[in-house]
Amino acid sequence: MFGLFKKKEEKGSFEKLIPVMAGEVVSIDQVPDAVFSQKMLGDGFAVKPTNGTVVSPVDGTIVQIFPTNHAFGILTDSGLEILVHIGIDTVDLKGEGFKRLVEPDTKVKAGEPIVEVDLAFVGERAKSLITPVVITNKEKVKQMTTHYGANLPVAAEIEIN
Amino acid sequence: MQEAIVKSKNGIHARPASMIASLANQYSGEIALIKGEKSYNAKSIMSIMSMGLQENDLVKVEAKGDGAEAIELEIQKIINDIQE
Repeated sequence: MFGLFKKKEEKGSFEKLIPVMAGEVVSIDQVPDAVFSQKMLGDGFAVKPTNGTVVSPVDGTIVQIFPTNHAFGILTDSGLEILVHIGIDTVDLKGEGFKRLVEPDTKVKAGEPIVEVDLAFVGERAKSLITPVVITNKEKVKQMTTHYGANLPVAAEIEIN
Repeated sequence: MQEAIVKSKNGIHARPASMIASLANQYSGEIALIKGEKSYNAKSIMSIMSMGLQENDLVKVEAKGDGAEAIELEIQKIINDIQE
């Protein structure tokens, strides 16, 4: 019944998450929304973007792109569920300033563009452009190492349970 | 089995999904959210978000095990109450 979320047994596997946008990778604590900073959705990192192309952080399947195109979810073959939420309080923009480049159920590669954001437009209207990337099924995370800084090749490494 | 109607004008996005999942995770048994013919795991944020629930959508809540009705009513209430 939950076939879409069936978990593969791959013990000792790792996932590397690339920053989903060009810019600076910062701690999730810096996101000005408690649902993220208090890790209610899960642990992860955030990006302060300098460019509006949002790419997949990993190889996986796009589970859902919200109708407003401000957030999307990816499931990896290792069973990790990752939510990318572009900006804060961006649901209120009802899709304005966001353009989806792929459809749900598509298999994607790390680095593949998923959504294009008009940073100038959204930046003027949303609470923040900071973009949290969180693992929503923490039971799959054995250990996570995050890297902070500008234009890094890898933002987080996760050992899968 | 209980039924709820989504009232949130923005649908069930990240924050509402996390509220539903965190409530569902306090219950030991299985809880399913059902939209149309499809069933989703109420304990998984990603599963709830993948339902793509919009304003006025009907959701059924079905729990299994001890205290199933009580948790169904709690989840029904939270779905009915989410306004954002």
